[in-house]
Amino acid sequence: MTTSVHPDVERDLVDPALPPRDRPEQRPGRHRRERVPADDLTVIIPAYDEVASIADTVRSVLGQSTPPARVVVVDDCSTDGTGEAARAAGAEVIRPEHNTGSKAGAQNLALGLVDTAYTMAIDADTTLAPDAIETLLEPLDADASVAAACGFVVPRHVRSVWERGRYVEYLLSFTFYKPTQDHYGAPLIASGCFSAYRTDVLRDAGGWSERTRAEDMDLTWTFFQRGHHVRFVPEAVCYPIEPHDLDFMSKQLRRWSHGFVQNVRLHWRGILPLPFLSTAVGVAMVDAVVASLVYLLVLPVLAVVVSPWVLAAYVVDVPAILVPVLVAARRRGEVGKALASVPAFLVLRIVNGVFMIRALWSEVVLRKPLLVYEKGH
Amino acid sequence: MTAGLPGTGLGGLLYVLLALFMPLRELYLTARGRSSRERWAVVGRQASLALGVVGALLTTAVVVGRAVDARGPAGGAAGTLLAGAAVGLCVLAVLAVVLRLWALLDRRAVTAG
Repeated sequence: MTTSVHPDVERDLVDPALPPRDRPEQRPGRHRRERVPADDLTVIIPAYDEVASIADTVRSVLGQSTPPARVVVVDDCSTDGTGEAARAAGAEVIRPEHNTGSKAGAQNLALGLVDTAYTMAIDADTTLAPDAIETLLEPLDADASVAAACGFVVPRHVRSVWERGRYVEYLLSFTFYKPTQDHYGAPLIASGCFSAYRTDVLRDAGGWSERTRAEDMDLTWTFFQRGHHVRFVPEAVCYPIEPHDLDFMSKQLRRWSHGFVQNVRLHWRGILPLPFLSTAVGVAMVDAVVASLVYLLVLPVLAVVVSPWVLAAYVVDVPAILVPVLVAARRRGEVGKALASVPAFLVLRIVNGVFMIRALWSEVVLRKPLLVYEKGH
Repeated sequence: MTAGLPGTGLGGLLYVLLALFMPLRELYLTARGRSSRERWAVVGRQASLALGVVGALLTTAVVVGRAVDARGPAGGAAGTLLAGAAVGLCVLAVLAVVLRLWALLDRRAVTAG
């Protein structure tokens, strides 16, 4: 492994494109010498062939209202100059001698170098709102029982059918489900694309495990079983690049569906004593199985055998879904974009069903777990 | 329910119920001095969303019911939708009871073992 720090790292680098009110020195009550939680934060960015996005990510981290003490990019043996681009943008760059094989592997490599109280994981294709780090660290700083905090995720680009479908999924999930989970004390996942952790608790948990294909879910459920708290902070917003075509989306959905099944099998007995978490996970599992069968088998058969009107079931819940989606979209001034994206959401949830069935068949029936980490945003 | 996972609405129904229960839970916490203005703001927002979802479901049931009934033989569409919601509630109740029983039996097995 080689480590290098760019000599021109500018800790207080501020993106000149930011509106003045978003710059740190313009924030009321913010004194430059005042110690803030971000002074004790290391941001880890695992990256493999991310030259197109890594500089934006690093700049958005360094341009925060409270920049972190360190930004470490793990250049996981990229072949496209990712490391050089990250270094030029102002990050420390480490590069293992061999590709670690997974995002978790790359993150753990950097975790060994962390000497701050807080650690943050950000994907290499994810940019942050200017105050995202400051906001996300608040619950960690205020409550020692909080082991992790996660933020609101919005796709950076909303153009293709897949990005649009994911956009509606996120608006729905992060506006209705996640705040409710947070109120009951158990956000189901501290999303791997943008989450902050208490470093000692993260280390105690063994870092990011490579035993499942959804390391963020694995880590979150591990925290809950150990009696730690996880918080969702809706004001901390991040913007990842979501899969833009079916090829990338397939890789991501394969990871997510297998990862969910793997985590349920791995953690089931451990989370069973936790009433809210086990109920939410149990209902999610039953719902995912039933939905896959209903969308892909029951409804088409009934449409042929009983009446074509049965097909209305594919869209009958759209008005109900629109309520939280449009509330979130209105806050963001994106009502038109959200409405135009709803058809894509209907397509995506059927595709989700295909991947869920395949994951269940492979993991539970054939006992062939997905072992390879396929990068797909 | 979770991004990337398919759902029939069963998970959505769970969260509607949880959100509708939030004001009661917060009242309890307020009485014990464990609430705050910020928490009540979240409770108000989530409960309002849940009421909006319920309103949208009922409106859909009425509109679809009238549209389908007007076309003849496939009558009772509104009733079918509401029956679906009732079945969903029953499934959730059964799941919740089964999970708690499972947890109880598992704890006893661990204790005995």
